Amino acid sequence: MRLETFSDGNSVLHALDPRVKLFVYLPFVILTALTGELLVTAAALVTGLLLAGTARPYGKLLLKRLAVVNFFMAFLWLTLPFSVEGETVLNLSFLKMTREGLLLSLLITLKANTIALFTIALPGTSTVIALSHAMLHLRIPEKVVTLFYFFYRYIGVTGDEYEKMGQMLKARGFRALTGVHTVRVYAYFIGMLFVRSYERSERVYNALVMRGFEGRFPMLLHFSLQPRDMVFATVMSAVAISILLL
Amino acid sequence: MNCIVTQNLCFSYPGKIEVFRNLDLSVACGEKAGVIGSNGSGKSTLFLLLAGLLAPSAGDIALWGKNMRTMDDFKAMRTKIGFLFQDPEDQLFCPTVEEDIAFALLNREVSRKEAQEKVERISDVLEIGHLAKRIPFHLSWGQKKLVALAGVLVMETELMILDEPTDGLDRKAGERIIDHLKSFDCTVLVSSHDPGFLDGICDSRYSLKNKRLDEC
Repeated sequence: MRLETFSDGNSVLHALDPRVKLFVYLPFVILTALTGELLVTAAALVTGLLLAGTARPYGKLLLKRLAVVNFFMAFLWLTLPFSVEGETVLNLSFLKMTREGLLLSLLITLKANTIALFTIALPGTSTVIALSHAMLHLRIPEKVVTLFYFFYRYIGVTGDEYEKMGQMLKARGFRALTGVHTVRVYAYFIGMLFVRSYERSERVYNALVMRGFEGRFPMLLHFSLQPRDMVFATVMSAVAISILLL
Repeated sequence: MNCIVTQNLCFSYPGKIEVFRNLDLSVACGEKAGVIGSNGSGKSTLFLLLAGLLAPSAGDIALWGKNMRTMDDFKAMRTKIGFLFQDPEDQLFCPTVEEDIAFALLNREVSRKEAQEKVERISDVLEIGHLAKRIPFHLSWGQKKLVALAGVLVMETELMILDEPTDGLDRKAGERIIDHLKSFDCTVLVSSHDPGFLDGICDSRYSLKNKRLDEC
């Protein structure tokens, strides 16, 4: 599925126990999100880059994902340097670019990229069902895990319906033009997308119920902690502490 | 003993689109019954009602002699029912084929070792062993259908409700399914547009037409 783009691979990170990945991922993401220090964020970014490099998650695709993140960051760079008060570094008559604004933009950009890299390198290299199973092991409430899994599953369902309907429109000769017909077709498209996705999600749920689903995510190939998992957890804990001490 | 009994079963979808009226059906334990009918005649709806996934507008459903009055009654019976949905994509759920086939077994607390053995056995029967590590969503329609079917057959339930199991499958795959279903003592209620498949498996046949179900 499209949300599991990076989960298929043979790297060291792919082979790690998903519980360990989550155990390492959560503190790093929280640390990155909460810190106000540029140096700490930069160190976390370097760690994220090294991890993503280790995971070898399809270079081009990784850059594409980061491009999406940085597309939103571009809007930030257009406004923040001019709206935060501080030492002026560039004066464009009615607009003043400040040093503090630039630093804040840089900090947020680094944080966003770091979290994206960690997400791709750690949970991204496991399947969603494996992560759901791991979350239950880490005592995350069943309802939260079920919500997480169903969100993922139904986003997939909606995506599939969107693709199928798009293909159907093309096959029947639809071309988007400027006119009432195009607007009406798009309105039908959106309406039908919701109706079909809803009905399909009902069928998916019924199929789960008939196979005894009760909010657990059992797996045939169960996790077992290997020495490499322990080594990874220890090394990453040491890295996290070192970054904190910076 | 009868495995399924329905009396005066009526069902309408919202908007008062009546699917069937006063439908009576009786399937004995161990019987292999086929339901035929044109598209939209209500075969899938009947199956959903029998599994308690839809609530009837009126009438009674009894499974193994017990009247199914509430959804909790059905819930208790579902461990004895294997249900194949018409569209395999609705059923496939797990990241690999073998995990998907094992899903129901693991939900029912079968040990992983036993589940693995059963998965391998059913995969051999349906000749899909080579797909074990594949992602179910990337398979062809026929392969998806076989994986979904394997996920139901592996449960070895007392009642199998199969909604068009041979849709999109070649003749040989259909024959393998017939051989397997005949090899163990379960009740089967199956719908199909494939007369050869129904001839091969069914002891009795019902036709759903004009909102009524008649033995034929």
